[in-house]
Amino acid sequence: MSAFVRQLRLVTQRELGATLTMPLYFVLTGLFFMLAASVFLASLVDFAKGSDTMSLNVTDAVLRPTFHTIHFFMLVQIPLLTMRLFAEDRANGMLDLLQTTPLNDWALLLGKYLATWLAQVVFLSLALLFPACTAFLGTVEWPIVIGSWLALVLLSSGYVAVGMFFSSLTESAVLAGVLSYVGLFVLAFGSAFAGASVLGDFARHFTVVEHVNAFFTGNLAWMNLCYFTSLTAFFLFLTARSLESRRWRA
Amino acid sequence: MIDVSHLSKNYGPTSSLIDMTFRAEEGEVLGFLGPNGAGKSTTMRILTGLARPTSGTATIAGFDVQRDHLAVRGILGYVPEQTAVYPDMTVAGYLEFLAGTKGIVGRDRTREMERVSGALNLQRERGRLLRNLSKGTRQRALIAQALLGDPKVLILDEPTVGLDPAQINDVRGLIREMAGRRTVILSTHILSEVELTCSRVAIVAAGHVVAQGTRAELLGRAPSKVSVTVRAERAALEAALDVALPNAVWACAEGVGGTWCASTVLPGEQQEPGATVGRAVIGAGLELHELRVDRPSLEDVFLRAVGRKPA
Repeated sequence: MSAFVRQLRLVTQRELGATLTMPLYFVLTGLFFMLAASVFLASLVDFAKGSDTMSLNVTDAVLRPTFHTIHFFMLVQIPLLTMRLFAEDRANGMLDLLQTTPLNDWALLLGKYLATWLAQVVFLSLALLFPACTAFLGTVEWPIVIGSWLALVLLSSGYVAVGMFFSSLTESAVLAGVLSYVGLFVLAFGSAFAGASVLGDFARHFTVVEHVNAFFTGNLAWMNLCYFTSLTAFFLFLTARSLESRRWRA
Repeated sequence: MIDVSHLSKNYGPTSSLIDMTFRAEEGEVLGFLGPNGAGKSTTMRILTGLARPTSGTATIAGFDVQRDHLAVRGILGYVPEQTAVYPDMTVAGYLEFLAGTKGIVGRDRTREMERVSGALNLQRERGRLLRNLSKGTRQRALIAQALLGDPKVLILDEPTVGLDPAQINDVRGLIREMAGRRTVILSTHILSEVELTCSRVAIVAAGHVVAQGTRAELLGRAPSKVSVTVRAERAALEAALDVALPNAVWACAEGVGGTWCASTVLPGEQQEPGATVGRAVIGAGLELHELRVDRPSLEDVFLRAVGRKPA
């Protein structure tokens, strides 16, 4: 095993351990799962009563609104998990200490990123219970469900990278959280404020909601996949630059 | 082993380091002594690669700390000023994690953890969460991680802060034991720590080294005060002292019972001033009542070097 992979595994294990033993993680996961379950059940009851006459099937009537709700919950949850990643290490001196060991900066940031993302994937895996339950009641359009779930997984990857970047900028976890909320909401819904201009069209291409809607209709286009992976890669790169810049700014 | 040459560091218009130059030889414990704000921590941060100098160079074992920082990290153990620990980890987990970052794995890791835990008396606390331990114990865990892998160079920034007197004594003993085997830079503002542990001292003030040498060298270069009391006429005393030390300026005062007292401050280069004065007084047939040579302490040397008056 190469030194880099060994370091990556080491940091991932430590951060995963830190996240999974954090009471906040369990409170948020439990709370948001219950809220998502309430939305799911309410949609299911509406569909069973036939009140949603516009929807032709259970996927459109029940699962799509549930996944949209989970997307919103992710926007609330992820900054709370990422805000401590680097800010806390900066505040308690651990980042300084780690940067004097042979630990590679990329192993450090990828380890933190992977651990937080995996913890988020655990939460999203619970969301698969909703289509699994629905399958007993009617025909589920699995390509749309899988597309939507993958969209959430890819989105969470990008959102974790964004949150981690803001955490690397400051030693205040609260400030990192606030910056992440602002950044994520602009990234997610920025196009809503863009006018009908060339600039507006440009902004729409960079807004998450434009790409995620395509996934939620089962359209796994390469362009959208590229968008989500680029989003993650771009913010991981910025985080690496932020860590590196500590040396020349200090 | 550690060579710092003309290091400067500016933060905007403020200069934290100005032409800092010093050396630490292999196996030497160098005390880096200075008041708060003298530039000690900035120098430590540059040596560990955490900050870049505005100008000048620093090398450790021949590696430039900026250009070859990965090589430097491989031979360095660092105790930062801040107690840097993960509060959510146990002492053993923390040491295991940091051993991993240094590439110490398998049996080597187990052996190293045993060794450093033993050296810092951490065996009983190994299973406890760091957040539940006292500052002193957390500080010991911090020092223990620096010893993992038996690094050639140790940089200790105020390592005994937060320890109780017994623990301070243990850590000082540990540093003394390292002499000859590792190169250690001990940054501190505690004089007694330097006197008890260091083979050489660099005194820092206002961003540069104002004095350096062994303790004996520093004390030897400092002025000492000589005072002599005799039962004789003032003129006879002054004549005898002029013969002994022609360049010295003596202050004379009348004492009790027909005695005269003369005192002067002599430069550090003056060899055995007490013997010289004693021989001259007795040789002149004067009745010697008291002869006193007040040698400076390291504290006096330090205070003079940083521009303060000894009390």
